[in-house]
This record gives sequence, structure tokens and C-alpha cells, in this order.
Amino acid sequence: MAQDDHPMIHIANLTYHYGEFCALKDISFDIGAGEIVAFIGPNGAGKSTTMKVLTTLLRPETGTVTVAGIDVSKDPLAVRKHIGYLPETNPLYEDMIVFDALEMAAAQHGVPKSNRAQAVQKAAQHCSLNTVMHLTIQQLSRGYRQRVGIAQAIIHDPDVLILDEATTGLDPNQIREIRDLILAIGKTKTILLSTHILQEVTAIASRIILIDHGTLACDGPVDKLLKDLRQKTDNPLANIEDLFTHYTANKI
Amino acid sequence: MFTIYRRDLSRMIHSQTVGIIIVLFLMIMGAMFFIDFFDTVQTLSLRKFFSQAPLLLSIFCPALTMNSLAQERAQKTLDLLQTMPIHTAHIVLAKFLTCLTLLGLVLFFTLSYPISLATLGPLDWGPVIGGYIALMLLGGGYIALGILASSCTKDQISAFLLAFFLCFALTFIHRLSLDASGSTATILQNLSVNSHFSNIARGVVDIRDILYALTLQFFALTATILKLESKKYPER
Repeated sequence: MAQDDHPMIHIANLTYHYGEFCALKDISFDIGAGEIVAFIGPNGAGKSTTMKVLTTLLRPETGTVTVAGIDVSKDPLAVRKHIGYLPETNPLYEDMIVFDALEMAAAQHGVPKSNRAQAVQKAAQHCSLNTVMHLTIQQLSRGYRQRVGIAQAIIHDPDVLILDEATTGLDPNQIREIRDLILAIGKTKTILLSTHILQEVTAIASRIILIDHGTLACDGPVDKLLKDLRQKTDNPLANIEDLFTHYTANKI
Repeated sequence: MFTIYRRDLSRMIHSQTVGIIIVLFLMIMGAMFFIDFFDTVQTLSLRKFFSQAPLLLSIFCPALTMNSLAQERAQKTLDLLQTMPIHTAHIVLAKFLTCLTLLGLVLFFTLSYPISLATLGPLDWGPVIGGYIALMLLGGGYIALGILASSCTKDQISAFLLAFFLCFALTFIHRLSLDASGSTATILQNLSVNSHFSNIARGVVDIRDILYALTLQFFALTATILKLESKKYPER
């Protein structure tokens, strides 16, 4: 289990390069247990790179990154037990039936054999997959595939859920379904959610972390950041899109 | 590890492409056996059959391994696997064991040749058993090279061609020793699969030949693990 005296996610002075390109420049933030945080920024800002470092797909170049009090550089396998991850592309084994895919995910996440059936049932119920458990993944709609991806990510009951563009490419009904699902899951877990749909931020998250060109542009509760922006710009109607533009547009 | 192994094995067994590759391999193996059938019956030996096997395996093994990691990379499922509490070595080992199991299964079907030969006369089983051990060891080496090639690209055809080149080069590198002399010739001979394989195929099981095959597997699989792990570090 996570250690209580640590923030669930701790990033301090993280830097990462792809060749000469600096994807992350000395970024730092903490996320506490039970927070739902929207991680936003323009394309190429460094959101996915940060998420890949948190999920141990990439090793930090400099700085310290811990998840549930465990250093990602020192014990990546232990970190992975605390994390559920839905990548941007939602990779799935399309030829598998949903039940088998979930059971395999449970096994790969180290869920004991005796608890696997229960874990599969719980995740399926949570993501409303019960009616499609017998279908192959390639037969599912995009919305259901996204649900399968999320079910795989929560099957081992992780402390932290990292969702990279979880609602991209979905129709409005599917977006609402996935949004409700994330809100339901967020009652018990820490969620870091990257998105380009800014309405989603106010609907789901209590806090925003905005990065731009690999640096932290702003970080705080949604209401407070909007209030500050309205005062700063003297625009009482300033919304989340204005906030995004204010911190990113002049740098493009 | 065994979850990935079971899933991959089931996937490969149900794959049409793998089915076609196996049928083609068995047909060519059968043709190789029957082309020299009368000679084989006269000598009651499978030596000719085994001597042609390295070339055939250098095509068959890359065909088996070409989609093992390349497909996972193309579909990005490898990224997902690497965020689960599974060591990269276990992923690579599971892929290796899957292909090795399939090779074992395919070679099992060819046992009908020595069995049918044994009904025609007193077959010396020593070289036959040695030959099959050699095929598995050699196949293991080729499979490990194939998995290494598959980890280098997202394209299955490129993975196949790269693996075939590596296996083919390793099989026939001893030919270069004909023009070389001294220690260069010895090194080329020792590196060649053929010079090690011919000993075992004759029924002579030398520990050095077994070590050669196991070393080849170890180095190729270790290189694959390092290749996958290296992607996690900054490119500077």
C-alpha cells in the first residue's frame, strides 16, 4: 500500500530530452491522495512524456519522481503495482474477447489467481462491460474499447490512475459516459488526466496543472486559477479556454 | 511470464499466417526427406536430411519470430506491457519460449520420418536423437536472433529480412574461412553454425557445440532486453 506521509505523486526538478529537444525542463509538482487533476497543455508540451516517466516507460534524466512514496528510478516494478495507465492510443489485443483480455490484464498486474474472477467482475461492472464480455475487442465501438482500456487499468485496484487523452475521438455521448466513469473511479483513487477537451477539465477535475514547452505554466485549483485570471485580465467572464490561451498562446 | 507465453502461443496457433508457415516448412522438410529417400533407405541414416536443416531453419525461425515484438511495438501493446509489474526479461523470455514451443511441435511432426525408416531396418537412433537435439539448439539460437531483429523494428517484413540475414550469415560464415588463414579462419569456423551443427548431427554431442548454441541464445536474448530497456533512457 501507499505510504501515507508521502504525496501520491511527487515530481521534483524533472528534466527529459529527446536528443537535442528538451521535452521537460525542471518541472515540479505534488499530487495528493484522492485528487483528480487535469494535466493540460498544447501538443508537444510534455504531458505524455511526464506520464511516461510516471508509469516507468521512461527514466527521469534529472530530478526525483515518486509514486506512492516509491522512486520510479529505484524500484520501477514496485511503482507499477500502484499505477493503472491508459495510454493515448489505448492499445488492445483486438483478437481477444473482453473477458480474456481483462483476465490476462489481472494476471499480468499480479492479481492472485483466487481473486482474478472477482477482480474481472468488479472492473467489468464498474465500466459497464457486462453485456460485451463475450465479444472480441475488434467488434466493440470506440467508446466500449475505451471502457476496456480503463477496466484493464483499474483491474488491480491501483492507487493512481493515469489517463492520457482518455476521451479523444469519442462522440459527445461516449465522452459523457467516460467522464461519468472517471468521476466514479475518482471517488477512491488519485487520477491524473491529460486532455485537450477543456470543458472536461471543469467537469471532472478539481485542480489544473498546465505545462507549456516543457515548463510548468500554472498549477492550482480550477476555481482559484479562474478567479486570479479574471482579476488579472479584468474579464469577469474569463473561462478555462481563456486560461489556456493566457498561459500558452503568446509563446507559440 | 507464463500469462504472456500462454496468450502468445494461443494467438500463434490460431494465426493463419503461422499455420501457412508451418505447413510450408513441413512440406519442404518432407520433400527433403523423400528426394533422397532411396539413398536414405540404403544407408538407414538421416544425415543428409539433417545437413540441409540449418538453411531451412534460417528461413523458418525468422518467419516464426517476425511478429513477436514488431507487432507489439506497432500496436503499442509493448508500452502497456512495460507499465505492468513484469520484468522486460520475462517478456522477452516468454516470446522466446513461445516460438521454441512451436518449433518443437513442428519438429515433433517430422518424427514420422525416422519412425518410418526404423520399420525398414535397424536404424541407429543415436545420430537421430543427436540431430533433433541439434535442431532444437540451433533453432533456439535462430529464434533468439529473430526476436532481437523483431525488437529493432515495427515492421514484420523488415524484422524477417534482418533475422534471415543474421541467421544466413551465421550459417555460412565458415565459407569465408576458405579464403582466410590462421586465427581468422579458426575464428570464422568457430563462429559458424554449420561447423558446430555437423558434429551434433553426426551423433557426436560435444559440450563446446552445446555451449555455442546456448551462448548464441544468451547473447541474442540479452541484446534484446538491453534494446528494449535502452528506449527508456534519454537520447543524449
